[in-house]
Formats: sequence, C-alpha cells, structure tokens
Amino acid sequence: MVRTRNEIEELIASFLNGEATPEQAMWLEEWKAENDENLALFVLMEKTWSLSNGRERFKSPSVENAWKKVEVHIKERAKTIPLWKNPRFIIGVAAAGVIAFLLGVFFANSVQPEQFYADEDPDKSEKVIPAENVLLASDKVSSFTLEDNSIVNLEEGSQLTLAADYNVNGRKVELKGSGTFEVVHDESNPFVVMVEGLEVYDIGTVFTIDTRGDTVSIVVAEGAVELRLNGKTLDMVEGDSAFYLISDRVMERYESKEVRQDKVFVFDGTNLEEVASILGKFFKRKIVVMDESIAECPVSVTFKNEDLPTILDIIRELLDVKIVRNKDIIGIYGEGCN
Amino acid sequence: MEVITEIDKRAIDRLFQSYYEGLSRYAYSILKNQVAAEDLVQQLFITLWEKRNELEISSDPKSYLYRSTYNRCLNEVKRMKRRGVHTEVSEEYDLSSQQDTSQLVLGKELEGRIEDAIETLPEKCREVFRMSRFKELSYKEIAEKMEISIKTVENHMGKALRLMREELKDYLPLIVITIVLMKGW
Repeated sequence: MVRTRNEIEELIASFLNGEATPEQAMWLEEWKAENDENLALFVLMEKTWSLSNGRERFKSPSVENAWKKVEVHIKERAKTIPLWKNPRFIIGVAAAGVIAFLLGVFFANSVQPEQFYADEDPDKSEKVIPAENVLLASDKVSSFTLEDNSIVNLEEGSQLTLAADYNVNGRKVELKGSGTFEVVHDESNPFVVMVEGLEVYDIGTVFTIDTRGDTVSIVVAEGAVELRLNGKTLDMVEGDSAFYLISDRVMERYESKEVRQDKVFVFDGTNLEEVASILGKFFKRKIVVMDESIAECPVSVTFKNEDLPTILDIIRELLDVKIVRNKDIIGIYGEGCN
Repeated sequence: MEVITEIDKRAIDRLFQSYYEGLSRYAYSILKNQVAAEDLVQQLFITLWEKRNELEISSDPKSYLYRSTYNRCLNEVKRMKRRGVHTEVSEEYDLSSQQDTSQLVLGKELEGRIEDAIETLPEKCREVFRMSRFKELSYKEIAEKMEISIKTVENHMGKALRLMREELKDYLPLIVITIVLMKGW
C-alpha cells in the first residue's frame, strides 16, 4: 500500500498516541526497516511527541535479557510434573469445582462478567465471529473481523450469513443489504459474497456492495473482483463499479465517468483554489474560493471514497475556513492560512 | 510470510528475536509504561509456549502476535481502569521538576518553548492536540466532543506533530541532550 508523507505522519501520530491497529503497527515497523530515512523520520516524530506530551520515549530493550526471563519460565514449566497426574490437583479441582459452582449460582444473576479479549480476538470495536454465524448490523453500521482476519463493515439493517464450512471449504458468505469487505486474499481459499443470486469473487480486494431496492451496486476500491451470474463473468478492477438488476437478473458495468465512484483525491500541499477546482469538476458543483487570502493555502490530505459534504467538512476543519452552500455555488471563505 | 507448523523452542526463540522489540514498542504505545509493556509481551510468549499444543497458527504468526499484543493491552487497560490504577503517571516527567537549579531553569525554558510551539498550532489543531495531551482523550472521544470525524482528528494530530516538529526544529537537539542529562540516559 502506497502512502503519502502526510498519511505516514498521521499514522506515526496515531501509533504514538496508542491508536494504531495491529495492522498499522506492523506496517509501520516494516516501513521503518526499509531505510534510514524512514527510521529518522519516525525517531524525530517520536522525540517531538515525547517532548510535547511530556512523556519518555520507548527505549530499545535488551532482547537478550528479555529472552532469558522468558526462557527461565519455559524451562521451569517444562520440568513441572503435569498437574493432572498430581492427586492433590484432582482433589483440589473437585473442591474448587464445588465452590465455583456455588459462587457461580450466587453471582450469576447479580454480576455482569466483564468481557475480555482472547489473544486471537480482533479490534475493540469489532466482534469475534465463529463460523456458522449470522452477523447483523441492526441499528448502526457495524464492523466485524472474520476468523481469517477479513473485515466486514455492514450497513445498518444489513445481514451477513457465513457458510457452515466457512474457512474450511472456501469462504462463502451471503449478504442481505449493504457492506464493505476488506478481504485477506488467499487463492487457495476463495472469498465469495453471494447477493441476490449474484456471486462476487474476491481477487485481492476492498469492495463495497450496496443493495437499494432492485439494484445492487458493486464498487471496487482496491484490487479486483469477478462477478459471476448465470455462467457469465464480469471482471472489475480498482475504481470500477457495476450494477446488478435483481428482477431482470442482469449485470452491467458502469461506463460513464459520472457514476464511477473511485473518489480518491490525494492532496499534498495542493493550494486551496486548485483543490476547489478539482473537487468541483469531479462532483459537478461550482466550488469557489471567495477570499484571495486563502486561495494559496496548502491542503495536505487524502480522501478515499468520501462524499462531498464530508470532504468539505474536513477542509473546513483543517483550514479553519467557512463554507457556505447555496443552490448554485459552494463558497469558501476565510482569512489567511492556518 | 512465515508459517509455523510446529511450535518448538527454536521457533519461539526465532519469533522472540524478530518481534520482541516491535511488539514491546506497540504495547508501550497503548500502555505508556515500558515495564508493563515488556512484561506483557514476555507473558504472551510464555503463554504461546504453554499452549503450543493447542494453538494452530495457520496465518502469519506476526499478525497473530501483534493482534494478541493488542488484545492483551486492551485487557490490561480495562484492568487498570477497573482498579483505578494510572500507571501512566509514573512514566510522565515534568521538565520543570528537576532538582538541580540549572536544570530547573532549562526545564522551565523548555516548557515555555513547548507551550509557545503549541500556541502556534491552528486553532482546531491546537484544540485537538490539547485534548489528547492534557485530557488524555482517545481519538474517538475527541471526535465525539468536537463533533468531527475520527479521520479529521487523525489529520489534526498528524498536522500538529508535523508543525510542532518544525517549531522545535532548532531546539530539538538541545532538548534531547537536556533530557538525556536530566534523565541520566
């Protein structure tokens, strides 16, 4: 995955603030190891973070000493007689079982057990999904990590059913509604989404399936997918979108640029006037920088598949400008660059 | 990608040598306590050894280790909150709270400089930064309080750190040396 300098700096900031996901942390470690320049940037940002937050930096540990500590435990435990061969243990377990049962009965109705995450569990905002399960996003957008680490974001009111042999004999899921899939690609273990008779085969991908009435829209944000319907196939790559008419059982690629949804804008020091022009052309809106003093303000941010109101909100927040929308024109007002 | 078919001591050793520092750094980013972070990662490897016959790490072991570290950190944070423990305090240091007079002066000067640097941040950016630094709010909490997206918080924090780095550019080597002296590194 290619990231801009700004994205990397944001990622480093997230990492230092304890907000990075495991995947981001891994990516960052690999990126640091790529060359000295990357490492230097990380160290500099880490030092800045340390100073500005009044915290110590992480100090490189002695891996050798740490391993010795772990090794001692491994050796000690290897020498230990297995517990189940120890008569005391058997008696102890029996006694503990009785006590635990009584305590369990006592607490069952009064204490809500706190839920902790198992080693294999996914993000704090996500739920662990065993196979043979139905995932529901009943009242809000919900994120799920499947056991193969693929991530599914289900739209409100949507449902995903995992095949009983999910991840054993392929990875088949059935979608009702809308969702975005970030699939961990595995050629030997294909990921297939079935939606209203259409099959969407992952070929290394992030894609969205959106069901509205009689129409299913498929948008590929990264990688590629293959649509299969009644023996026909349709290949889609990053930036492509297609639709499927359920009642007519017809699938088509969107050809016109107006309906393409590969809305990825990478602004890296781009001046605001140019940003307004690019966005205006894409979204077919007249976006005008109304004050000269902000026309040259640099914008450094990447938008991926965001809608125009969200993009404008972010620009407003970043540059501290005012955005006034009316029927024909969107005006950006402000005084100087922040 | 490394795939482990059998977990023996050599495999654990190899994983430990490869990932211990990275995992500890990651744990530290969440726990903000180096001792706790390293203990947690060591315990993860001990557990890995103990459960070696039950575990099947069919995917990338690195992913498994990072995710396990993450989940253990979340559990630790929960436990700390439940116990009302704030280990972070023990790792914080105050640049102005040093014993030696010359260091005290320098520490105060640094604090002033850092405060000046924070003041140069754009308003929203500064607000986000202050919420993170002084109120120790998460990105999600900041986003909710300011009614902005988490993505915007990320943008602001990245920008804040970039601008702070620029503002402290000339100062940074001196600051680092000062801290080294003060902390006796």
